[in-house]
Amino acid sequence: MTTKNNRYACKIALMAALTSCLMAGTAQAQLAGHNVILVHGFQMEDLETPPANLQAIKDAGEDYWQTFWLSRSEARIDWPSDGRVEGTIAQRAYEQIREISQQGLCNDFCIVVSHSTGDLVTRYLLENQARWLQSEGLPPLKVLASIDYSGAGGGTELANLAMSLAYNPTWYNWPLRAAVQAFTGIEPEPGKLGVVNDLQTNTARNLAVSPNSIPRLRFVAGGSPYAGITKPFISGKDDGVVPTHSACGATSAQGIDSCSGNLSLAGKVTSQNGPAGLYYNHYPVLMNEGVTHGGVLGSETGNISVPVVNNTTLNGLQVDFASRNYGKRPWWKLWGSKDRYIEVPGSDQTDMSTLVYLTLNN
Amino acid sequence: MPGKALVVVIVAASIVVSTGYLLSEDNRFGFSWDTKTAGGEDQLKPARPSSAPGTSQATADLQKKLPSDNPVGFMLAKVADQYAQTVRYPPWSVPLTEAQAKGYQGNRYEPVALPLENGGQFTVTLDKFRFTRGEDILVVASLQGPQVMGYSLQATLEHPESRDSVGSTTLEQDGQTGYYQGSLTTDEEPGEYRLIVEATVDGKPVRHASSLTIEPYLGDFEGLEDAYLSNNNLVIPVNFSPQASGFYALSAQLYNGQQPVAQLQAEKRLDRTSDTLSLKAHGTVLANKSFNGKFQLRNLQIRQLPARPGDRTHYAFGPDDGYDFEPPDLDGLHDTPAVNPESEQRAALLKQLADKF
Repeated sequence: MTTKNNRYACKIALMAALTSCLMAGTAQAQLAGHNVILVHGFQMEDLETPPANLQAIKDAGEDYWQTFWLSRSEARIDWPSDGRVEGTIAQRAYEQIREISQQGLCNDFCIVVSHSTGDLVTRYLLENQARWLQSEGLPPLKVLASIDYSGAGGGTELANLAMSLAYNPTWYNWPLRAAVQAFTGIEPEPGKLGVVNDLQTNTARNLAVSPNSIPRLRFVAGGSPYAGITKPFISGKDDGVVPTHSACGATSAQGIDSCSGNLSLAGKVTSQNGPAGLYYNHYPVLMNEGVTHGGVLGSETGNISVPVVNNTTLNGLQVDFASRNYGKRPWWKLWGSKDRYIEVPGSDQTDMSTLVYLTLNN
Repeated sequence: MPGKALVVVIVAASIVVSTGYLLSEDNRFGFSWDTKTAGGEDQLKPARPSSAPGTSQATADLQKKLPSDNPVGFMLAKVADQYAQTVRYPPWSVPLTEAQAKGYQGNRYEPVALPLENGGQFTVTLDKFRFTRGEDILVVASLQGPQVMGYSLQATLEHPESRDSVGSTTLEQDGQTGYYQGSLTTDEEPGEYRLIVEATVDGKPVRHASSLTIEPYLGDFEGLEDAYLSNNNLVIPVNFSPQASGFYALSAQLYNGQQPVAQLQAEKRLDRTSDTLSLKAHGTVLANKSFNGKFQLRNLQIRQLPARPGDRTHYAFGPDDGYDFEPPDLDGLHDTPAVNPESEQRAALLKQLADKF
């Protein structure tokens, strides 16, 4: 096991090193031969200083993806966080969708990479884009799949709290207020919450939730940004901003601890408070207990990724996952069974974005 | 002498630890050629299918590509495999688990909690998120914690931009349940509103704010026409007379007794000359299954879709009890995958991608 593990870990590390060398000079766009469209998440700066025009929105969108994905994409759909999904966000986003359609970037199926609130924006756009484009005589975008990092399509409790705090200027629950300010970047006010309105759990889960044919591949984080101050206010496990129930694509906003009923975010094989159900065509792929909400986009290494395996059978054949299992006995346990973990060997040598990119472009 | 005693203690401790290790459930001594793994992998250890050699099943299995041992690749292959299985269902007729039925029933409102100091909690819940203009909004709230709470709460409906109050009521405490309850009316212009419930906690006002919507009147559901079979579908025509022409999407859940069967959807341009949307349950969700008695269409929801980016979607809902209907003989349906070229192409591309692993 160890040999196999090490060999795989070395392979990942080598691939990561080689890729970063190669990419430093000339960036290779496309993912598995398909054009990549980026849809970013909530940008708190927009609440304080709303972007003046489309160019300002695009500049902020470009900055958002600098760490990894920018040079690996063909287009972006940028949107203003001071707006509402069924408002200026849809309007600004559609201007860019129209261009993507006119350029034919999705004629051979493109892949959407979304982060955080980009999941909710993508879901809304996918529900409406075909009808809007066709009304202008343009072809709808053909999307192969959406890769959703820390997807906030199910909302976050931090948005619920931001809404209440906006109406409580004189009431102070200091830890709560600090958590909400870390999330929104502002002292919440009723008219200044922009897309945070749409991120309330009930609002998000009542927006464009009909099943559709586009597979949503879910990548879930569990780290602690903001020194952990936001975590006590989010149901179940979370990545400091988005609850696991949302990132996995669970059909309810009740707090859960993992996307799987028998595997923790850290990869420990043990009974978990997993989702009762997932939305149609939502597929949790990897979880990572250590990486933070923003770190999934390529800035954080050193965290182990875990494949969300409920069983290890594919096409009737069972995969040799034994080579990636290991037993670990806590120091205080003298005997009895070891705790078992499943992981992606070597995933701590790289970040979650590179890991997915390298695998798909292998 | 003290040296000997130390040796005895060390030996005794070693025996205890070694025995413990030997007795441990997942400790297996063995040579490297016995096993590659060193831990209780019973549940997940490699196990190839046990087909007898020479059988057609064994041959078929051998022809299958062995799954990837790259975990990310394995997961992508798994997604491709699962997606290929869903492609057989047309997007307008997909099977439902009970949890999915709950998630897709539409117009749900899950309780929203506001933490108070010292472990207290201020929770507000509604029976739904979207209200049709003219309906009452039943507000239920609870206050928990060591704080001194008032006997009643004040609920106000506010316009989000102007912050104008458009209605308010007092929520009285129910002596038995301890919950605070009251109703607001929704005779306002359609749109999004803020529900603000104000409590007095330790002598200070605390406001719980959340969102809801008031929907315009879109038209009337006027029942079902007779269901019939066509092109491997059970077709269920739903009559809806729209107030205004436009693109509409109808969704509903098909039930047989308490068993959710499928989520059905249809999209169509409606005007005053066309008032029927036909939901279709495909053979893949109905054939070769045993159903008892009548079917039900529940959680009917019609959406007037936004004509332009930036427009709001408007919603209307069918009767709370849904509709019962007697299906025709379903023997004519068969479990043959739907023809769905774009999804099939997508499945093929995903498989091609997964085949690399």
